[in-house]
Amino acid sequence: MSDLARYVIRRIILAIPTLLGVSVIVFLMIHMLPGDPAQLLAPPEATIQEVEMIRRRLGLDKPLWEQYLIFMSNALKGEFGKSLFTGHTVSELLWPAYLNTLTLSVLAMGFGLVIGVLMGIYAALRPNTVRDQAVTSLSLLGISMPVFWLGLILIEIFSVWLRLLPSGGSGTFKHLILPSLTLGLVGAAYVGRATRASMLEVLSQEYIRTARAYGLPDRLVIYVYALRNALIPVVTVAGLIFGYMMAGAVLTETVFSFPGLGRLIVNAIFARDYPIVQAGILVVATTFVVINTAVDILYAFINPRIRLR
Amino acid sequence: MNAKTLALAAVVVIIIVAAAVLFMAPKPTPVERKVLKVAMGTDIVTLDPHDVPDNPSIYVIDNIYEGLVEYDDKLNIKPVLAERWEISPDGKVYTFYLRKGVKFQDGTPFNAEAVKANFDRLFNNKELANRNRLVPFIDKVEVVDEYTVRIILKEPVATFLNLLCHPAGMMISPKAIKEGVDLKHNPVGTGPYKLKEWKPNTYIELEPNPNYWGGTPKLAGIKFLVVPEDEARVQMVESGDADVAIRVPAIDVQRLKQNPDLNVNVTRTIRIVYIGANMRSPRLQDKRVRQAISLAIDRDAIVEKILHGVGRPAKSVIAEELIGFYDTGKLKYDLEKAKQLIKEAGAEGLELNLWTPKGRYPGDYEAAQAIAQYLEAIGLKIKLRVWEWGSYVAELLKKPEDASPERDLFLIGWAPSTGEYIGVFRPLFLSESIPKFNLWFYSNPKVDELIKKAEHAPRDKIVDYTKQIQEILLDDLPAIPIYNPGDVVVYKKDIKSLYYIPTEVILTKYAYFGSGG
Repeated sequence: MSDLARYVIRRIILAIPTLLGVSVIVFLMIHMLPGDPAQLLAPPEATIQEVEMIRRRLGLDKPLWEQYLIFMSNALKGEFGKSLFTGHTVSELLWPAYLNTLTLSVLAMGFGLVIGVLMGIYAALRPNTVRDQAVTSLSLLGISMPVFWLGLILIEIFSVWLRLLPSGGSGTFKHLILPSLTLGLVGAAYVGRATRASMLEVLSQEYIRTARAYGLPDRLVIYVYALRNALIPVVTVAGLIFGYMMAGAVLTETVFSFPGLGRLIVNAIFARDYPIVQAGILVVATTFVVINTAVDILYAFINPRIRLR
Repeated sequence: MNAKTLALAAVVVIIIVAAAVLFMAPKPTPVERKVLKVAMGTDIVTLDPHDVPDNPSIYVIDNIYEGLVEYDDKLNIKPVLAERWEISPDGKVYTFYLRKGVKFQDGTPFNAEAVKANFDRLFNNKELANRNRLVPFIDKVEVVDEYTVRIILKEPVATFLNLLCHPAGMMISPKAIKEGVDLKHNPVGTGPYKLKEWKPNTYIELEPNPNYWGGTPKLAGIKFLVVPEDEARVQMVESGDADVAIRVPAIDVQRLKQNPDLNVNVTRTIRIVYIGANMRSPRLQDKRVRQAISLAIDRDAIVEKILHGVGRPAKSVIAEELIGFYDTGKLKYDLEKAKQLIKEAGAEGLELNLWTPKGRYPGDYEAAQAIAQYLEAIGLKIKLRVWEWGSYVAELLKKPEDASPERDLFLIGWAPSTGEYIGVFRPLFLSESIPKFNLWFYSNPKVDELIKKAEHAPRDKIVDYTKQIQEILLDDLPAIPIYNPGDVVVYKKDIKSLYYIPTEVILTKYAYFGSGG
């Protein structure tokens, strides 16, 4: 396990320059975007002097490098400043949104993995039959379907017609079901395709044929011998999807008025609320790095043949 | 049967009959005290009425704060914290007689000193976003006695009471001002509701103010839910997760009208959507080209096809509801005349840029697409460009010398949040409003002079000046008025007294749940 520990530490150290780079790029990009928070914040009738005053109050009149240093030195202390618009501290905006999105993504990933893996296996066992084609088409539909459309359809069915689940908002488990299902179904489509492909490949390998030749029960062959190896590429896909869910669930969050991270960041970009964008993207980048490392470590557990280097 | 049994029997019968009558009699309809849930598109920015830049914040603030006067849903002025007022014959001195027995939500009494403290805040705090709505017009504010206050203007302003209806004229607890309370997040007003919780990007919840001078509020609370997706707001009301949906897409109106549980309220706003014409663009120097553009646009078709009938074709640079409105009859659709003007100006094949935001105003991008086609039909060549709002504002607010040489025609909307004509003419057409919201860089000394006269004219003389202003502006056409969008609010049938003010504000503080009617 000490190998593993060393590996984890090395990955964490490697992550630091990545995150620093992200912070610089994000900072430059958001500040280079045309648009001025002071102008967006001032009422239309404000005079130029008043807009200038707002700019000064927000600290946006300082040179860019100075603003970046202020931002970074505060960030290292765990302070991300305040929203330029509502005056709430970034932490008080960011963490609840982060936790919401994390809960949503974990639940959606659960849906996605269970549905996707089962679908993939189901299709792979009878390749090129009607049921394989049915599953493949269904997952193609899932990948191609706009997620907000799927969300609206689910709301129409479960909230407007059946009145079983709330159409939007947050706070209880009930509020999580529809958005996580929406997000999860899209994930399931990707997972399903990955599982099918990798399962097909594994099933054609010799050790499976050997196992079958020994007369081992089908169930054992598929779910223990084949699946374990077939899941390795699936884990990669799942890790990527999870990362995208954490960062890019904005459409789902918007449809379900779910106060998550994606919506927070996108709204902040449109409003040019620099502190939220900077901190938000840094948090997303950190999450990505963490997930990637976790996936790499998970590999080792699933398949002992993969050695840590 | 003896008398005793008879009496007993009689009593039993009476009781049974009485009970039956009691149970069967129609019960008086109880007023339910529930929380009113309002689905709106964006989160609020602030709860400080003197600093508010957006409409959603005003929806909320209107329940917490009150001014001396306020607008009703027809833009009439009604007394609130002032019971009555007198205006001096020269129109410069306004004496307000204040309502007695009013307390702020922190217990501070409301009186003339409180009014003065609020104006002092506007005068002294130069960072307040809305100070310019009032401060430039006021000379001083005097406390006459505990419940009388006098506001002396620099020059007469006929619509001064209208200006006071803006949140800038709302009264904050002088104690909170003095103690430097963070008013952005901790409002202290005199209104029927007070803040319970503001959960950013999620909801703002208000609870009743038990000490409200107007009696106990009729709702158990008001919860403004942040629901960014248009269709999701509609679905929330349909599913019962919300009671009111604001800014419902026009395309849903016909379908929702079929729903027996819902009221669909299509309202008028005082917003005008214009096609701005850059007066410094070399391509738009000839007045006939701008006039041809205006004549080539079928406004009725845009309202019918793109706005689905929710709105009206624009008749002038200001909306019909505003004092000073005058219909010049110049905004019409005349393709032949348009073509002729283009020919006279020698502008056939002229290439023009048309810019538009998307999703900022109802039908903005779609209208710009239609307009591009109308203009192609009279022989112009149009390059349509869609902008993201933040970048658009930054570009449009540039100084003339820094502005992009590509700026020809651009779609932009304007609604005066003060609900009166000064709020249009001054920022949009005065020379000194360059480089602010005079986005067309229009400078006409004659118009400048008329605008200033109109501002200080007595009420019955306003139209004399605004008529001339509108005649000139609709001849020069720096801003070509296109349409006046409506707004759609959908709410449950059992909600009463929910009002929509044409300044694009929904007024919830009088609302209650009640059956019948």
